[in-house]
Amino acid sequence: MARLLLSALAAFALAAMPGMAGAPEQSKRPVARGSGAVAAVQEPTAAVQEQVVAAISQLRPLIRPPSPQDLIARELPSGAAFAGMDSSLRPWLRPESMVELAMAQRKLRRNGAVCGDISIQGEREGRVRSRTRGCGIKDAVRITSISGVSLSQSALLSCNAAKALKKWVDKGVQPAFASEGPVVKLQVAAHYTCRPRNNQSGARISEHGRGNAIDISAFILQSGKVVSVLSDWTGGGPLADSRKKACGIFKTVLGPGSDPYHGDHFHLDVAQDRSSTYCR
Amino acid sequence: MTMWVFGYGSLLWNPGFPVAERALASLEGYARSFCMLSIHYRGTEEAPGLVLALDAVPGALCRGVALRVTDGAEDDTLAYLRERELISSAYVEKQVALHLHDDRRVEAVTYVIDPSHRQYCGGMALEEQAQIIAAAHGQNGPNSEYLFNTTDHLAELRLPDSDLDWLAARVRAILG
Repeated sequence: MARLLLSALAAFALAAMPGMAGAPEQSKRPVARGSGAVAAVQEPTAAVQEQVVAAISQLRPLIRPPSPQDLIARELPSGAAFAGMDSSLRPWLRPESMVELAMAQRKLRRNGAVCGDISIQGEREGRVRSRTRGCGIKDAVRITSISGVSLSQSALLSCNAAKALKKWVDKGVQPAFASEGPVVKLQVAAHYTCRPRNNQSGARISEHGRGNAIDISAFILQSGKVVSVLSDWTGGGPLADSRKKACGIFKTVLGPGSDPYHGDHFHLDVAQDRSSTYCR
Repeated sequence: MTMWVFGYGSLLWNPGFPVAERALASLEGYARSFCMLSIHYRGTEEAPGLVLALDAVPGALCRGVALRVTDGAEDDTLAYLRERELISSAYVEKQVALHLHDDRRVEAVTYVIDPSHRQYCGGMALEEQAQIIAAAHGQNGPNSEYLFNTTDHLAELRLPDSDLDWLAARVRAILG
């Protein structure tokens, strides 16, 4: 087939260059094509044309015929939305490029969604095992962002904890920071980590060892401003508001004032063995 | 004048200078990670290991220990630390403000990384870090020992660091 194409092209080239067989002392500038030559290019012999068409049609897939909707959309005037009384109230078709873009983004988000919630983005990790008894997560996820708020480090959590975090971001954090602009990033101080409670040997495993807990040390706003638990805790304002709203969504909420270990972060967990909330 | 040093890696378990007092401390604006290639202590030029360093990250928090130098030993300590930490120019000496967990605020000396240095390797995936740490070895011993010593001491101090704990578990699994 390639040879067929080549011979067709050679036929074109020969027809198109009648004056090129001249001596070398002639200028290298191409000579203007005479009208005869143009005619030769535009009207190759029927045989050549047939060969080229046959060769090309074998290479290329057929172009899809335009759909009826496309045809209607093309006939619409490009100007005002309402051209006149008799124009339809039906909205214009969205440009195809926009639809494609939106669908691609959705698909991307759907592929990255975990815990059956499109706003919880991350990866499934499955079972996380540990050599320490009592540690591990049955069905873990590694979360990178929640409701469009990114996490400073991907957090290994159970879906229960991830869902609670999502609810807190939507219903606690964003409303609390509403006047200062949205929170775009959470600074994660700790997530899954297998240690006995307060690391005393013999003590029971903390909720961090079951993927049920996350520590948050700062909130980063869209303006770039950092609101940190350590430096900006006053007992009031958006930080205190966020903390208050975490109580109930999470089972345990600790922070500045709870004990000497929580002065620089909020500890949030969804402890399974606790029937009532513990917020101090 | 009282001199404090912020320890977040090997200084936690091997200060190497006379310490008068230890206090849990938090440093804001810096994140601890294995973002420095070690070509002396825990690796070689041919097969670099990884050591911890502080990377400037807005909003980040690093928890470690503030070490108060014994009175009179300040000059010797600073000279010792410079020889130890500034062996290559990847670390930069910095004066930082620490929040001690008993609510004191102190100024301390610490060593942070110069992200334009060729030994800087920030943002490496944890799995890759684990593979390097499991294999590397330098003049101070195996790279894994550095990791385990650090995580053990952080655990003793009740300072959680999820990434380091994950790395320790992963490296133990690789080493079998």
